[in-house]
Amino acid sequence: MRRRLVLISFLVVTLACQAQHHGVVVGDTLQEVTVTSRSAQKRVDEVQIGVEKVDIATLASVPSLFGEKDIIKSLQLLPGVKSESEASGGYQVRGGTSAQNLILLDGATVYNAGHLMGLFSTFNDDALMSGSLYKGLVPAQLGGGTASVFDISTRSGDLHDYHFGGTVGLLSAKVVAEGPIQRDRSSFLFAGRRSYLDFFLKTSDEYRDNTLHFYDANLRLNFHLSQRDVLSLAFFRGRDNMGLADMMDMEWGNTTATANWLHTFSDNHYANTKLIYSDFVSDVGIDMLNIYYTMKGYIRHATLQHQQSYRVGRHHRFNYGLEASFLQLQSAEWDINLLHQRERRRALTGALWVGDEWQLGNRVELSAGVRFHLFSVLGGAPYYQIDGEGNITETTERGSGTIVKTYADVEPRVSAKFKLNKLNSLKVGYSRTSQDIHAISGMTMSMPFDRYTMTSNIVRPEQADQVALGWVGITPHGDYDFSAETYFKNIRNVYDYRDGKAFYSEIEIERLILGGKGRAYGMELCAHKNKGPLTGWVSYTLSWSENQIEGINGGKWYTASNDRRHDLAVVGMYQMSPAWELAAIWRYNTGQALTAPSAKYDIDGTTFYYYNERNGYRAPAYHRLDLSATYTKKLQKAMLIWSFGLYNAYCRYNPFTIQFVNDEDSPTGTVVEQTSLFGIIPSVSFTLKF
Amino acid sequence: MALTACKKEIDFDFHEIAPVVVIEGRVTNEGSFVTITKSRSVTDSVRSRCLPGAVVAITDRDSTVVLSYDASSDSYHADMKGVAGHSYRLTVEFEGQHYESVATMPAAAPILSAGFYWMKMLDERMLVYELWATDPNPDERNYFWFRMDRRSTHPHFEGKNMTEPYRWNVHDDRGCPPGKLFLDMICTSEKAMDEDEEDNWKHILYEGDRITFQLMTVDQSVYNYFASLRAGQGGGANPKSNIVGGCSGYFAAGTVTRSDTIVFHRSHVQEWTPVVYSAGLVDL
Repeated sequence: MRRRLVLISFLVVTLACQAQHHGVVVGDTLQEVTVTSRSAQKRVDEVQIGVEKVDIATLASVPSLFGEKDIIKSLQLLPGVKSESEASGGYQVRGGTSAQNLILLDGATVYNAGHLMGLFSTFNDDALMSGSLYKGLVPAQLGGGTASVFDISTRSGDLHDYHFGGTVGLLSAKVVAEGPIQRDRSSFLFAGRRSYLDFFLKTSDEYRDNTLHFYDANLRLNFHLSQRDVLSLAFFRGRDNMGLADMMDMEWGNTTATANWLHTFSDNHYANTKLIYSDFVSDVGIDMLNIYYTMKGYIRHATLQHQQSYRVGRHHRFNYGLEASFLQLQSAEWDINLLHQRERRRALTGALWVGDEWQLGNRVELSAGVRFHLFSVLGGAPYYQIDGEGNITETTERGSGTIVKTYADVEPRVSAKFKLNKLNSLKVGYSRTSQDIHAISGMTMSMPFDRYTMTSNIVRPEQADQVALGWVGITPHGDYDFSAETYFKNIRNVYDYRDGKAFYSEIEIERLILGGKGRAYGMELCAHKNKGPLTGWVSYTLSWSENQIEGINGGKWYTASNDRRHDLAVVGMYQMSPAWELAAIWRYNTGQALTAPSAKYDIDGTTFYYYNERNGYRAPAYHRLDLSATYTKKLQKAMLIWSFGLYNAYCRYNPFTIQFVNDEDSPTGTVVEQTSLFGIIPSVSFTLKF
Repeated sequence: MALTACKKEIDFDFHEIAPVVVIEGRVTNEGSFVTITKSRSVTDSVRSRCLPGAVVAITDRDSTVVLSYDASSDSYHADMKGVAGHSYRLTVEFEGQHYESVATMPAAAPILSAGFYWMKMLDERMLVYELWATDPNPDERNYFWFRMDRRSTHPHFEGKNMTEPYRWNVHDDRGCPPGKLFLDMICTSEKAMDEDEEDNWKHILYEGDRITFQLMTVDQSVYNYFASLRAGQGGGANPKSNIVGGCSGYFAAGTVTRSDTIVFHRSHVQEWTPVVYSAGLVDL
């Protein structure tokens, strides 16, 4: 860990550079994607409670770590969304863990969406159009994440003109190219990014044997086959390669491919048929327990989906569809000395849904639906019965074509908006969501080598019920808008490692985990200023998160590891002149739940710490100020952008980890060490776009 | 205006709890002992000493031996030597509470070879201690505990308390060739030895250090205790004790085997080459 932190600080010293550019969103908007400008009126009009629409153009103006524009980091400025830890790419929504978030890129599932252990995400903003984050209250057509669904769409290339852009920085280089393949009939968009930190590392004696690189590439092809038919193909590949000599060697990443055929029957009726493939791979070589061994895992989805949207009269818009997926999950494959072990499972999963957006009179809008979810565990791998201690009591092996067990459930999704008057609305909603792929994280931050497991004969699907109530209001001319939302959530079948077990303890992951339940509740407040040279928002979240897992904390309810009482984000953007824009973010949150010892004792000559209460303490508060200044110059056919940033402007050393260490030289015999990841980090970047 | 990651000591308010009883008990082929201590405040630097006043007994089949408190060895002690294959029951009466545990003693794992080697790992040369032993029960999963101690006269350690082992851990026989147990313990890297930074002193072996190593075969309950003790420190969880009654600690019955003492000399460390054992043959 220490080594890694030193390495990160080295790369920081080399001055991260990045480009910030105002994404030009061009191209036709397909009917299935609503234009998502996070405009005030849209926020007020939205029927679905608990959704945040992320606008790529706004994202571009907000200062960020290393200057890397990051849709996931920008999510964390919104109410109800928290970062997992300073460097982590994971985020937490309404008391959920990052493993309970589903991230979809053009419909394909993406896992561990972070580069460099999560310093920033694998999504290149050049390729993105929009994203919608559903904070647990999800419309019927989406499923698979109990805490949230983040539905991201890439943009399609310009059908008329060619555009190019390039960004060169010390951290990474990006290129973007788009234009017609056949003018007005088909287009392409390519965005790629690659880091070349490793070239700098090779010049240093100390880090020469370290590997550190990542790349990601997005390709989107759009074909207007006829007046009524559009075919779009989207591909994504992201890869990270990190090798720290004498510690570990890791490679991980996602590959996705989506083919979407949009057929328009009429102005009121259209259908989307999708073929989706995704593959997440993690390959880790570690030395652990004095033995060097490698571990490989993967998760593959192959999905066929068909959905239709049908407007009937002025009051109803029906949405219905079905989807079927074939899943393959390898929770681990490893070599321990001469022993080769592997756990691999397959499953079929499907869903059917129907929903309606119903305008009842002038004041009430209802979005109601139901999703019928099916999961079948397939044979071809051993399945177990496990006792209270984690030992296998029975093994079943069935043929690969057979079904071992099927789970079915009905998930109602309802959201309603009551218009009090032109300027104020009340919203209420309820959703039941479920999840079949569970990341078991042994540490407080998710890592690419979390082991994943799938619902099986003994691992039940995770399920959440959430209810929310909210108010949105806007001032007469839209200068300001406000929202307040409160929620309560119950989660069943949450899994975590048994005390004392880690991912390497056994190949059969079900022997290592315990299931339990969780609950979360809280309130989110947000105020936006939308007009004038100064714009921005303030978001505040007050929340509680608790777990109850048999075998932990005596089987009683306890504060969850991700519990954090207050979270505040203040974001401001100031257009000083046509060329200069300034921006600032201030974040503040009160301490993360922390497990600290309450006593110590000696065993065989060594002092060990005794933990009396899980998550009974709080880490010191976290706060940070980020600043940026952007200078834009329009040339004849091109645009030049200089961007200057300062991350952690007043250099506060925020706690990243806190450890309790034996130290003979200390008067108490123990020292409490706080490690901080970042001091103050300046960044400069340059972009050229045609 | 620092750009780099930083580590600093912080003040911390610990919650106080009533002391917890900690029992460590062992029955081995070399003798038996039990220590009873209590946990102390995180800010208390004085190590615990064994507390008198308990009634401690170990029962083997039909015979029971009472262990007597012995201040000089800081434990409850008896000459009782354990026998492989027997199950032993520990009972402790202390301050009005009753504690009990059962542990089964596996057969010995005789050590075949042990020594230090240089092993190349990810472009660095690592100092590795490799040990081979005979697996007493090749058809079943076997567990063992080991401890390496280092006695050094190096000035770095002058005046320091050396009760902590150099290394310890528990292991099982997964992945070992049939009939054999082996262990590769990574001590430190050649580069760390050359740089000799204070943070690494406790890992670096110096010229003339006396290295002793003991292996003890244990049952699964003891393995689980030590594995969860180690893993839990990082994750903030207490280990699973195999003693019933509400105390911390463990009771182990195990057969100890020891490797020859090595006086460490860097020039004597050989390059590692794979040792190939075929089933039933002992090639060294």
